[in-house]
Amino acid sequence: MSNVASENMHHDDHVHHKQSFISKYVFSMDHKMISKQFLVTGLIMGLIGMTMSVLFRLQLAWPEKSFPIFDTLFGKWSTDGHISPDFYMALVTMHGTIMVFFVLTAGLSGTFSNLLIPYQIGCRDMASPFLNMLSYWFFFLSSCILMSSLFVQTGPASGGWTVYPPLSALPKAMPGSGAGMTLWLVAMIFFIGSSLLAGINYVVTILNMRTHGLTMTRLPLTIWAFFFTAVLGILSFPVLLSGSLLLVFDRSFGTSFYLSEIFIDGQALANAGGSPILWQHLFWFLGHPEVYIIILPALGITSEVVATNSRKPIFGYKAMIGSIMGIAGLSFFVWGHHMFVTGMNPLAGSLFMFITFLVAIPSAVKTFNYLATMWRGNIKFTPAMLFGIGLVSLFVTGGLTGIFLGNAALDIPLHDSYFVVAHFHIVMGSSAIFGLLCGIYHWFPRMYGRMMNPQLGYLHFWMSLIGVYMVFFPMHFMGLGGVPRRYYAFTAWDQFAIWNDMNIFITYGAIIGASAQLIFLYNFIYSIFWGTKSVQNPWQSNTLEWTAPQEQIHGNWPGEVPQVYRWPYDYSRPDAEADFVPQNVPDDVVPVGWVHAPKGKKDDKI
Amino acid sequence: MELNATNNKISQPDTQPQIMENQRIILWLFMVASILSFGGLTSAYIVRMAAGNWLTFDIPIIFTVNCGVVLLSSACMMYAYRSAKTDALERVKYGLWGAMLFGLVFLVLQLMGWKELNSHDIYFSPRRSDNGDLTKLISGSFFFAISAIHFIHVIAGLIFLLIVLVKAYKMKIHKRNLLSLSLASTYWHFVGILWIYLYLFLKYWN
Repeated sequence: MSNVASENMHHDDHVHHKQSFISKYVFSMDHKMISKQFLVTGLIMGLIGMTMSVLFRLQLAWPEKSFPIFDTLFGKWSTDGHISPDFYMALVTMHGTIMVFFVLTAGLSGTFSNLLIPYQIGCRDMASPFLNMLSYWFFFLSSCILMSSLFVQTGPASGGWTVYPPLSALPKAMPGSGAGMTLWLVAMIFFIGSSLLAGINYVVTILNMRTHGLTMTRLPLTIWAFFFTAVLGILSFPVLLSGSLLLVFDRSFGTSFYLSEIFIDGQALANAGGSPILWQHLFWFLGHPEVYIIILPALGITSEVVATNSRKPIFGYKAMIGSIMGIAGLSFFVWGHHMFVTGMNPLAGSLFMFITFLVAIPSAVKTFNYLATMWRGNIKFTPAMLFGIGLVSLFVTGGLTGIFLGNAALDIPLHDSYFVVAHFHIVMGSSAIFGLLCGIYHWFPRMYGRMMNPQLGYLHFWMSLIGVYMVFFPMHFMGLGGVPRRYYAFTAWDQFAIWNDMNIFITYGAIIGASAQLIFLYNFIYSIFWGTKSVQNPWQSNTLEWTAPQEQIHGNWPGEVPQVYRWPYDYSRPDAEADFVPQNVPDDVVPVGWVHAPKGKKDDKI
Repeated sequence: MELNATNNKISQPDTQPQIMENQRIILWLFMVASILSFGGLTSAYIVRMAAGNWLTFDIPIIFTVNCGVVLLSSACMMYAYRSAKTDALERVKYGLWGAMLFGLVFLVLQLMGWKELNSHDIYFSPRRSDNGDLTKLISGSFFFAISAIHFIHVIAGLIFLLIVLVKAYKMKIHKRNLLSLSLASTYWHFVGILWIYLYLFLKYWN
């Protein structure tokens, strides 16, 4: 209850009070600024991760060719214009870590949860603006630590983003196992801290601070998705934290949690009794929910964008919530499907396989609901909508190969081949990136008060879509042909020579996809400063964030926060004048539909 | 808005009914996260043990004693909380001092317990024992890791209690301002129960 007082004080405070540069732009506690901080940091990390991928794609396409620029860029990591194998491994590892954690976890969820939770639930800020600020700065610190590992003498972590022991547990195992790996772990511990602080804040805010009339079943699907994303983070990141601590102990204090007897030059190390498989269990217990931490916000954003731009109510609102819950619940029981080749008990393998297949049900529900929402809708093909449709396309393509890999009998031959690379890059990498871009195009006017250039947006979309499919579609066939992932070059094997041209084709795809992102970056930066000014509700959307005034004030709404009378998907109501009815329109103006009428008002059916 | 600011006893007309105070949900979520993190550690223990080649050892009696210390400390905390409810402000301080004192005793006894384990050649990491053999008890490493991470939770709890104690001296803890005391006591009981659980787990899951 004291919240009210403090909330109001905050609000009044900032109406009359000019903030210093530091408190407004740096150590800001305003959710809107924190969201921009997450976005910009995420985009910078994304740019770095993408550049790394182009670099190792160049190596894969032309392993014999010399790129003199590498010598200038990487110094001792490159000889005669060739990236060294160690550095190649480091690039792959850092690309994975950056993309999975720093771009698609913090960048995606951090940006849109922060922006949309307070706006869409009609409250003035997060439950704890201070923890929110802390969460961003933990993330920032973590990013800096990870980046600093690029500059240590032995190079960054290079045992793959899953950092399996013993490469990660023995500091002398390979160059990247030294200081780089230590920095990776320190960065990850800060990152986990950041995710926990953020997630806890999101959950509390959604549970406790919804505006009057906004029952849980009237929440936009974005909020439902962010809610379960946060819950997944709270439940799974602590397990990774424990696992990482044990790894730190192994590295620095001489324990052997993950190390069994290891002989080097015939000499046994002092370590004994541990098990590297233990790390895989702990890692994937986080790792699989992590996949949904990445994809759920993207799906939530898409739900909102698809409904708005189809001018139709979302199809199967409750089924959508149910499928989010289903995906979230199942995600804790499927980690074993990453470990079919560890010599797992076949019964356990079958159980993991069965539960993995169950994930197809809620995923299919979501896909069909998107299609049914678009069906005969009055579709507005904005760039955001295109990216939303693109996400659905990628989600289907990648989801289908998930059925292959979830099957232990098929996974064992396909394990660690390019088929796996193709699968997860499409289903959760690219599609989540599409969700992120979809969200940026859609909420850019809300964040910066200006519009992004739609023509450049279309160009960006088509180049990205073509790029993604050019890169990842052929990889399925390479994987079926037995090409293993994480190899520096395939020149030593004759049987892989047939894939040389394919590798070149893929690299061209990567260059097209990467150039598209540069167009986006230009559009993004240009539009922040010089884009055309947007109107208050440019997409004629129903949710509450568009009822807030254009100039962003602390506390979001001058005067009272809007009250909510209806669910967020009243589009194209035959009994309303406009084709959209914002959530704050009272029911004596447009009667609340039967869908989410409070009990006793069911006779208002339309 | 005006009405709220002047009379914040009225439940927020701005929001839907709240489940409980924000701070209390935050604390509960932190505790859930903490449970999951210990869940990870104890599952790792179980999985590793099931893989065989696992040496068991007797847990020194000192750790059993510490379960009693935990209970005493929790009892003091309850005394403090009940006293605050009846505005017996002096007793709140006694209760908090008692809880903190037993908390410190707990930490000291844990340290002594670890020393005693070391004297039985059970170390966190492999060491040369007196007869020159390398000790390689992975079960010992687990014991140390799990109890050390719990140790850190207790230190956090002590800091929490200290903050509340300072508030108590400033007369800020009373019948109508119980939140911080109530949260501290929830957390304190939590770390206490956590130890008893971990103790039973480590003693009997062998």
